[in-house]
Amino acid sequence: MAVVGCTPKPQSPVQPQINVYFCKVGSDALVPTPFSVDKSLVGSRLENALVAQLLAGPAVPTSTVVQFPPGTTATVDLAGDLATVDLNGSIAKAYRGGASDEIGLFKSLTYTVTSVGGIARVQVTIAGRKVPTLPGGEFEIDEPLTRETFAQ
Amino acid sequence: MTAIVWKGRVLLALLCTLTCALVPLTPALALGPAVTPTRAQVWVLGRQIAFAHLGITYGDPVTQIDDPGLHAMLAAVGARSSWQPGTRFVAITRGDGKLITFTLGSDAVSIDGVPVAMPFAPFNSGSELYLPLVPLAKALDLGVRGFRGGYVFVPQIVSVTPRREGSVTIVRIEGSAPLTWHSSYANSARAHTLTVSFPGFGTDNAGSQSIAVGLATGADVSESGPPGFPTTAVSISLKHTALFASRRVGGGAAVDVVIARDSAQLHAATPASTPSSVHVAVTPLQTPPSLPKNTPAAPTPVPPNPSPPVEPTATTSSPAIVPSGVATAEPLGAGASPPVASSSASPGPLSASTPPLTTQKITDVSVAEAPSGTRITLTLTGPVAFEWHRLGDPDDRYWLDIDRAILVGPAQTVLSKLAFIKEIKVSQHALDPDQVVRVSITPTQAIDVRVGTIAGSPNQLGIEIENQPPAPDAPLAGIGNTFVTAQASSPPSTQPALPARTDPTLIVIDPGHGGNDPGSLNTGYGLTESHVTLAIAERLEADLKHQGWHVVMTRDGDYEVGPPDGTDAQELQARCDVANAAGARIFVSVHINSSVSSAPNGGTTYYWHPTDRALAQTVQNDMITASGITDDGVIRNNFYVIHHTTMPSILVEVAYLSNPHDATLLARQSFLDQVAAGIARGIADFTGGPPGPVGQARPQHPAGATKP
Repeated sequence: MAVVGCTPKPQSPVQPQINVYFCKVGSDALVPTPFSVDKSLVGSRLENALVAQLLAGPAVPTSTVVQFPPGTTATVDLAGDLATVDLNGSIAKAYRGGASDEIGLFKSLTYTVTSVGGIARVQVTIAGRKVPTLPGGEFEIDEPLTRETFAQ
Repeated sequence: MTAIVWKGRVLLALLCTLTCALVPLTPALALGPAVTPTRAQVWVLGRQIAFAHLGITYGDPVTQIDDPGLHAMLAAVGARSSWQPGTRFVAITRGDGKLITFTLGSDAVSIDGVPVAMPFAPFNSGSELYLPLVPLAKALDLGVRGFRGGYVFVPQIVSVTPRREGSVTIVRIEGSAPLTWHSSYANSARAHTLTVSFPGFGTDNAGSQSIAVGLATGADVSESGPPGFPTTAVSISLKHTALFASRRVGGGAAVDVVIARDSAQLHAATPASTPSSVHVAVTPLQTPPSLPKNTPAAPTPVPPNPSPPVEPTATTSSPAIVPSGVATAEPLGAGASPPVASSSASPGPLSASTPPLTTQKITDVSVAEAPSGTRITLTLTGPVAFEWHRLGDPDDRYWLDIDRAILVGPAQTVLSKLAFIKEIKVSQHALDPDQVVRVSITPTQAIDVRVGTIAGSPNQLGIEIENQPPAPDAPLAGIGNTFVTAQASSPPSTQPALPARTDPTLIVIDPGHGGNDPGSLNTGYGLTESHVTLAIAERLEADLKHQGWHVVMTRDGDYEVGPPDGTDAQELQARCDVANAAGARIFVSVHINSSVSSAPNGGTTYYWHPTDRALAQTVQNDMITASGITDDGVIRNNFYVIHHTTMPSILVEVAYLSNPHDATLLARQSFLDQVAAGIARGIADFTGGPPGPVGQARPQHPAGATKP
């Protein structure tokens, strides 16, 4: 499934492409998936489209990548190099997944959001509030995430 | 002058039936009453206190006099105990001078010389002296709250006393423990209210009262929040807009709220010449937006984030360092004389996880040297969090990273005349995206380093370097922040500081999830993560005890560890608090993995602090060997409980609940036993086992620290 603003395959040489990063299940390996995006999308509109695509999953449904729970919604706001991603919906109520998937979710979110030039940090909020972890989760999200967060 | 005074001791005095209890009535008996071990939880000031030897006698909780939990409980309220084996008297002194004396065999406790009856006397059981906890808590003016499966001892706000001094109004609020407070000021067209909130404090005397004193017209006292960590708010109604300041008095267990019409009056009433009474403008005056235009100009607001007034005081010795995230807390010897800054209030929640809100500056780096060591003092503009690492032999290097900090000026190389220090550098280690100031110490031999705020000066971080090697089992890394230690530093520096000294024999096991949070589920196999983790943890506890360890479980049933109805953050922090307060040697959190896909399988051990990798790898190896589960390796990741514990910490994801093969294994007790045995063996392999009797060397294993 593709969301508004994103096209699974490059359609024209002039149409910008950008990666949405998914994460393989059972590992922290990233699966960069290029999408063509509308030229009109810039800034927070572009970020919102990318995150919407991430939440929607790969264009071809697969069970090999970690995906946000159905019913999860997100909005992205930008300020300098910081993107604030507010997650809402089912994930804001309770996370019942495992640790590896939880890491995969935030790793894919961080890599996707920071694939836009100028954005280096991702502050995750849950239902509008900065929290230490997802409800029922373990992974810390009260500080901005960067790609370095996931370095070993 | 109107006074609202509540004295909880009145009730205790009514219970007094003995006139003098300082003479023991009955000699100690080697065989005392029965002590039934219990795992009931004990909470003080919102912190779960881990007791090694908590028992029930005659239906009431008792504990051994040398139990680390008792010391942690006393420290939480600014008290300490004094007792020598073979003697009959246990003296407990509080920061404000209160003296509580228990006498072996006497069923009356002396509180400032007044005997008060208890249900039963302190007693010996075997060679151990046991104290009843509830009378002790009451003697310390702690409220006793009901709590399922445990005891909640809550410090009290005991009095609110307004008075007028010249042109200002002063409201003194007294508590039964060192106070930490927030202040807020609200104006509306009809009301002007100053509210002072005390997190962790309760009150048995909620209500409103009119107090026509100076600018104050009334006081309302209310309690809110969970019973394990209530907040008491004292709201003072004012006649009109005002400026206010608060200052700590009475050894830290009282605060004077000074209310004035303008800044001149306020400053005149809080002379800077009294170092112990320096005022701190907690909240700037909020000029009410609804004021009509013809209203006279509001008084000059106190600027936000005012520079803390500093009153250098002549001194011949250093104030004690209150450690943070480290195990020992003795002050550096006389001779080192860094400046002493005035104390300031420490507004903020008590949670040890509370991060500083803003980036702070390091405005000064000073060094004071004594023959036995060096103290580096960093002057900060506000609270900071830090993390430290130590490399063992042969490197013997140490570094401390202060998060969200900007070093004012260039990097500094601190010159030391001491032969055992090769180099000390203070530099801006990172600026973007994180601001980190690093203090790097390169010695010429093994050194011991302690970090913490300087007693009475929460905006000064002290790093003490001593000419001696650290203890063999000293941790290789730790975290801390000046936010929490600022509160711990409030009482006199003679009291023991938190966290407690590391107990080299203690392992804390944390069965993941529980209560309202079941974790992952596999309904097809009837598996719930919180149940499986508990089953493994119980077996692990037995295995470790068999090895000779003391073990504390963060939970031993299907319930939350944190306060009832607490937040996720409180729940996770409570688990850390159990280990931190007990000074555990190692923290192990047990979890079961899960995925949206049924394909992934295997076990993984997570760590966060780089120096914990060796522990993670050792436990992972032994768990894999013992259980035969697929090896998914060790991974570094920022999970809350392994980040916010101050000792070597790992989180073990045993297998995947979502994988049919793994789930089949997880449904078998024999597999859970194998997993537990593997983890226990890993801990033994990493540590060499629990320390043996005094004088008996125990095997040493390389910690395997990695360089940054």
